[in-house]
Amino acid sequence: MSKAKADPRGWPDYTYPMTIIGQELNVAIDIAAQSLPTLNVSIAASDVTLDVNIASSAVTLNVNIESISEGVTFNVAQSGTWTINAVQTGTWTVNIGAPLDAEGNVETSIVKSVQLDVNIASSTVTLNVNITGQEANINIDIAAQSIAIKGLTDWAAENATDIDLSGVRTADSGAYVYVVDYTVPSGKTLLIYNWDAILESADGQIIGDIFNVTTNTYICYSGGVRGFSVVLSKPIRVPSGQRVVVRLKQDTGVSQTVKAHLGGVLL
Amino acid sequence: MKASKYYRGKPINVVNQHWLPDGTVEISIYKHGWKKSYKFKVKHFGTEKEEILEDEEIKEEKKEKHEEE
Repeated sequence: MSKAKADPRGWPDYTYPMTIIGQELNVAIDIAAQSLPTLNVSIAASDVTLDVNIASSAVTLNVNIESISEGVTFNVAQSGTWTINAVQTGTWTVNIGAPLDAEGNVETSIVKSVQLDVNIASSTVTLNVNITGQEANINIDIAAQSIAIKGLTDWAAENATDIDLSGVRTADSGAYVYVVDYTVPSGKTLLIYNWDAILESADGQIIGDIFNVTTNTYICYSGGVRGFSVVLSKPIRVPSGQRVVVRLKQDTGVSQTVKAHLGGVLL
Repeated sequence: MKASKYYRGKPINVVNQHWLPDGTVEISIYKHGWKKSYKFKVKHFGTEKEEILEDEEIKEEKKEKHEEE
């Protein structure tokens, strides 16, 4: 005799239909480590504070911040170094708020203790430098320069504003004579830098002076045996329209030929 | 322009004055760029009676004026 009737659902012989009624049954389920599929997590808008602590790793973190109504503040310690590496092929726009000037340029301020080294390479650029109201000393090292610094007399000779006045005449012994006589042209000023005189053909004393005929004033005197030469440490100024002469006197006892020269600049 | 007028009114670079025994003065003037000096002769030089006896015409100055025009 068979143990039971054949199962009408067709289950194998070792299964038994079981009905549990009104029981509290704990069923322990142990799911071993599995390779789970992608887990989508959606966090709805909330006031949740999310603390993120990323330990040192080789992970690349892409951060995309958008639609922020409040500003994002990066605080960089002043003593620190902040390096920004921008992708060379990309375009990186940095918008800096205040301080901006009226044209929207970033205002910069250089503190007083900063030393600014400027190195201008060889170029054809003209650099206009306007230094006003400074207490700084400007040290100019003239050595090893290719340019020349010239005095007024050198410039005058180069630019043809120099003048040499000379005269010759026979002078009786013991009498003053005019040997050079010049009236400064209108609009010009004569600066006298040197003057000299000689007795042409005899030994003897010769003395002379530069005399301003217009103002009736003697400007300077000199003298010597057979002649003299004076280089002035400061120029003698003769204004426009005034007449200046070189007067000479010789004491050889006879008439002699005397000559005089007066050199200067006409400005 | 005459040499005497140029001497009085314009800047020049070299002046040679030769005071002659007869009381006249020969004055030669030269300006850088000119080919030669120009001369004029004056009686009673530097006085109210001053009189021009000879006066050379400066040709370079005419040429300069033409160039400016």
